[in-house]
Formats: sequence, structure tokens, C-alpha cells
Amino acid sequence: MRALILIALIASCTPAAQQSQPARASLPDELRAAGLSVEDAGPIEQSFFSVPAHVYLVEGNDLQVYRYASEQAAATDAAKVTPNGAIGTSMPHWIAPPHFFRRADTIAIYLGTNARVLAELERLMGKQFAGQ
Amino acid sequence: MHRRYFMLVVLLFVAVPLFAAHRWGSYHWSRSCGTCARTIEVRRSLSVTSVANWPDHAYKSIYGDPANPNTANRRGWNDSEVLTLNVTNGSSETYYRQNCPAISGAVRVCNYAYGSTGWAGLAQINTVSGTSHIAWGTAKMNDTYYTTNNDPWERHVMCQEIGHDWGLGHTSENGSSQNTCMDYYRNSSTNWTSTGPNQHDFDQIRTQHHWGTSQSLPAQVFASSLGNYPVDVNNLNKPWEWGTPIEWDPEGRASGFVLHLGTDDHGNEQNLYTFVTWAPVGAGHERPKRDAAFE
Repeated sequence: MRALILIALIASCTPAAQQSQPARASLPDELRAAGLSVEDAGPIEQSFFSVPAHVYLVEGNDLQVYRYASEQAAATDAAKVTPNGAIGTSMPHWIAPPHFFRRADTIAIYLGTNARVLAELERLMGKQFAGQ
Repeated sequence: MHRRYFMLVVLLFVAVPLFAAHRWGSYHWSRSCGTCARTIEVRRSLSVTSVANWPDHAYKSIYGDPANPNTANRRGWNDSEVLTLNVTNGSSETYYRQNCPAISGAVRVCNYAYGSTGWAGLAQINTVSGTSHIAWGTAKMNDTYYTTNNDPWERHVMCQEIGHDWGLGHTSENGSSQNTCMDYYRNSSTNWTSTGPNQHDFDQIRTQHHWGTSQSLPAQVFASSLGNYPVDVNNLNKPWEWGTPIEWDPEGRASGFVLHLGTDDHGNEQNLYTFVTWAPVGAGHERPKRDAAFE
């Protein structure tokens, strides 16, 4: 009986993340679920962020998705982005207007002006933290 | 009424200082004294591709392009009174173009197919530890996004990325033109708008590189500029000859321009202001021509 109580206590102290909750769907899957066309365009590496990105074509425009090991790591890279478009000491000339979003351990850069895509990204990730 | 368009142009000569504020943080190159120009090597690790003559674009971005159809953008970064730039040829082998290794105290310019990175050009700098003094810069042109010949667009990006390496930011990012390569204007292959630095950029560089602390700019600088780039105010027929846009109409077209002319004998800066009212573009209308103002 004591053993059962102990097991119950241990279970109740287990962090929520370790319990069997369904994992959050990936951003591309969420965009597909919203009815947007999403195509895999492969990985890229950017010298100004600390992790590689994966590029998806969302309704024909680039969406770069950066997944970090932790929220803190994502926040650290997000803090490099300035309102004037610089990322630390790098200044890209983007091929289309950039929009920067962050949700937990993920940063997404959308290059485009599609209002529907932007609305879905804002719904899923919150307001953009930088960009045009 | 045979006229299909109407335009009103007002020209004003006004002595006012130009506004300059498109800096990139507080980054700038150090100088050995308050009034001496900083000498910087610009090393080209560039190749000529099937659609872009990158070495030529770099050269003309630095030393100017007297043949630029956009007369307001014929100067190069070397026309800044606080920079003395020396273009040199580095290796154009793949390794150098791909990695664009930095050179202390210099700027390296490279081109390569860097992949679908989302950027057509990328400027990067590093600073001397603990300061905002730029230690080196690089400017990369991503050949992945240059698939057809478009000299104005190539020049625009090349000029802009090099301009970032002097510590300049963008003048705008909404696609509007301020007739400087530091804006985000998107050129067609025949439109040379925004393909070189303008006076606004030179003013900003001078400000950032703190030309003395209480010293005004020598008048001969402007006199020299006027000598090299004479302006016939009665023969400015194209919008890009009118200088830097400062106002836009509700349809996003530039409707006010300022052209820096130099300094008069009293030391006052002289500017030519042009304001234009555009006719609607569509059936039965054409783009206005400037000489219509005098009819």
C-alpha cells in the first residue's frame, strides 16, 4: 500500500511536459491544416542564426523555420533581430519583405506579403516581433 | 483638348540642411584624426557570371559610374570625404567566393550561389572588441537569385551591401525609392533608379564618422561635387534626375524631391525642390513628362 502511494506521489510530481500529452504539431503541418499549400524546399544554414533552418514554400513564398533546443536559445537569437532588419552584425537584403515570428523554441521568417499566410502565422505564433 | 496628362511642377531653391538618419546602429570605421579620411581596401573575390558582371558592379559602386543613366546616382562610395577606398583584386576561386574570408581592416566582396537563403545580398561586419568601430566587412551577392541579366538590380544590391559595410542602414524597406541604393527599390532591367549613393548617404557617413566635433564641412567639397556633376535645372527631364524623394502621393508615387546642389558663397546649402502632381495612369493617360509643367 505504501508503495502504491509513493508511486502515485511520484506520478503527481512529474512535469507536465513529460506526461503523455499530444505533441504540438509542427508549424508546416499546422499551416497545411489551415488549408495553405506547403512544400518542403530543404534545409539551409544562415551565418546569423545559431541553428540551421528548414525552408518551406507556403503559397509559393519562403518560410524559414528554425527549431532550437530550448525556448531560451530561440529567445537569444530572436533578440539579435533589430527593427531596421539587421540580425546582429549581419544585414541581409531579403528577396521579399521579411516577417519574424517566434513561438516557444521556434523562430519563423516569412518572406512575402500574402495576407492569408500572415494571418495564419499570427494566429499560430502571435504577432510578428520584427519585420515589415 | 489634346493633352492626355497633366502635371504641376514647382521648383524651389531653399537653403536648408538635409536630413540624414539611416545609420546601422552606431557602427563606423575609426579614423586617426577628426578630419582625415579612413583608407580602406575593398578586395574583390568576384567572378563574371552569365548574367552579372560583378567585378564591374563593385568597381562602379566604389568609384562611380559616369555613364549611369540616372544622373543622380553617378557617384560612388569613394566620393565620401571621410573614406578613401582602394579596390583590389583578390582570388576569385570558388573557395574565396563561397567563404568570403574576412580581412582585418578591409572589406571583401564576393559572389557565389549560396542557395535559397532568402537573401540576394548579405553584408556582415565585425567590430573591434568593446567598441562600435568596424574591424572588417564582407558583402556577399547570392547568385542563386540572379538568373537573368538585370544590371540595375545587380548594381543596386552590390552598392547597398557595400554601403552597409560603412555602417549605413536602409533608407526605407517598403519598396519606395529615395533614389539611393540604400533603399529597397526593386529595379527592372531598364530602370536605373536607386543604383548608387546619393548626398543623403554621404551626409550620413560623415555624421557617423564624426567629422570633427565642431567643424563644418569645407565648402570646396560641395564645389567639387558641383564641378563633377553639373546640374542644368532647366533640363531635368526624368524623375531620377530630381534627387531624393521626400513626399509620396496616396498611390505611393514620389511627388516631392530634393536635389542637393552645393553650398553658396555664404556657406548655405542649396537644394532644388521639385514637386509633381501625377496624372492617373490607365486608359487614356500616359506617364507625365516634366516639360509639360511649362506649357
